[in-house]
Amino acid sequence: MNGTRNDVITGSAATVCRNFAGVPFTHKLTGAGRDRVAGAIDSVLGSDPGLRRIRLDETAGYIPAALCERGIITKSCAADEKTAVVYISPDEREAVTPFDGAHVRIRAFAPGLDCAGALERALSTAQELENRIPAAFDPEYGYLFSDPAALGTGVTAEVSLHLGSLAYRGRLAETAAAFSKLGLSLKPLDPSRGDSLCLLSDPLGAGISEEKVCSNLTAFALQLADLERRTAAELKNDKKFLSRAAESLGRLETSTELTYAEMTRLLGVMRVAVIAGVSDAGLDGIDRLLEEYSPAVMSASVGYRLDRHTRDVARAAAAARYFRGRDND
Amino acid sequence: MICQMCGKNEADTRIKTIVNGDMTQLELCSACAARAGYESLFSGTLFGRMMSELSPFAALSDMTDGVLRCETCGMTEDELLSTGRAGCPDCYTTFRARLDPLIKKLRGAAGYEGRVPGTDVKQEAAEDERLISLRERLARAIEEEDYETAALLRDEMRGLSGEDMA
Repeated sequence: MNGTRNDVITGSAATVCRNFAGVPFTHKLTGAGRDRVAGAIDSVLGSDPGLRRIRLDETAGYIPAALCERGIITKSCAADEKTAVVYISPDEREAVTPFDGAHVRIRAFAPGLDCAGALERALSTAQELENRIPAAFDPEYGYLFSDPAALGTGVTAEVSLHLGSLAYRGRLAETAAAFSKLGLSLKPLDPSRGDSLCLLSDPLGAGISEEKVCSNLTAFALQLADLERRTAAELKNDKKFLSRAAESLGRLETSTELTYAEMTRLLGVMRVAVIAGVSDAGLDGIDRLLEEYSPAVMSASVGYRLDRHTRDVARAAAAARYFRGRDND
Repeated sequence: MICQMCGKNEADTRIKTIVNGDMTQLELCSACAARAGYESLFSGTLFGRMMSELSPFAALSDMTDGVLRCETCGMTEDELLSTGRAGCPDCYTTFRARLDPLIKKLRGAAGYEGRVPGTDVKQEAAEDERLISLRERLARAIEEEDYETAALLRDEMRGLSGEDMA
């Protein structure tokens, strides 16, 4: 993570969706129509040296699952048997998925808080496509989608934040409600990983430009990060929290098996402890454990499907190595 | 029925237009309908040609059995209203009279403010960076009371942001 403000804000993403002129939207597209759209997209992106073409139907099942766990493709895309191809940049900071909601969905990522950088990258690929395949566009409505409520820029910006202190204090629901009044969505990134890793997004962004979507979201993300830091600072003298942090550290150092959900919960507490200034465990190391030890990512890293027990043992060993190693420093 | 425009050919296209709630109906032959501009906006594009070959509804005119239907995807007004989803981009042209008030209700008075196809993203980003740099230099020039340079920088910034120099 090399972006700014990465203690609370772990990453930014921008998604650009496009449909093509004169072609039925995805839900009305027939098999032959789908093939032709896929062919047109491939004629543009297949020769792009900045994107790697991956045939999901020819890979082991854990590959799409791993891409999904890392947020590179959506769950619906990973689960859809008709999604044959995805285009992913070698640095995995950009992914293009045909037929994921729209004819094409371009998603770019940036570490830390950099919505504008992610947006520029995604728009650049959208432009490359639009130069060759006319986009469905109306000067009055903007880019066209099957849902009339989605007409506009086709851009969604997102910021992922670790809000462990707010979650610990039980203040996430009220914070989400406050952001909802501003038209923003704040929800857990993946409920199976607990509620502290959250996604702040502008689901509609209607009537404003792409850049404004990003700058608004950036401003709100900074406010949210400050709120999280203030809440974390309050925990510095909270005996109950200090005891929980000590217990979490003990579990991470000594467990012989750890499920991903359990590891996420324990690492979440350690992350808050670091931000509160009561632990020097290192955010980069914690984030690396979170990224590299999710179930499918572990299988993808060794190149074959690992069973659950093997994963839990390897995960616990990695956590113990990291935290015991720090104690020995 | 004979075409109401040329009075010679058999009418095979019915055009219904609704203006301020008043509906008018025209029965035209396909040649007159095309001359009047009632054909797919995208029929000249690669995708328009591709989809007209593909679509099972390609042979249908705008109106069949008095039902307004999208030429590209075959969606009817009833289907559109019951599902709440358009079938293709052309539905927004076919059903514009019906959809426009709903869309305006959803979006409010604000028009579309985003980029349009063909905008050069990289050039735009470079211009943004140049503007930031000029703004910083302008602030410095004002601080140093170098008003001659400040005026030049201001003009350059106006030129970049497309403001009227007058």
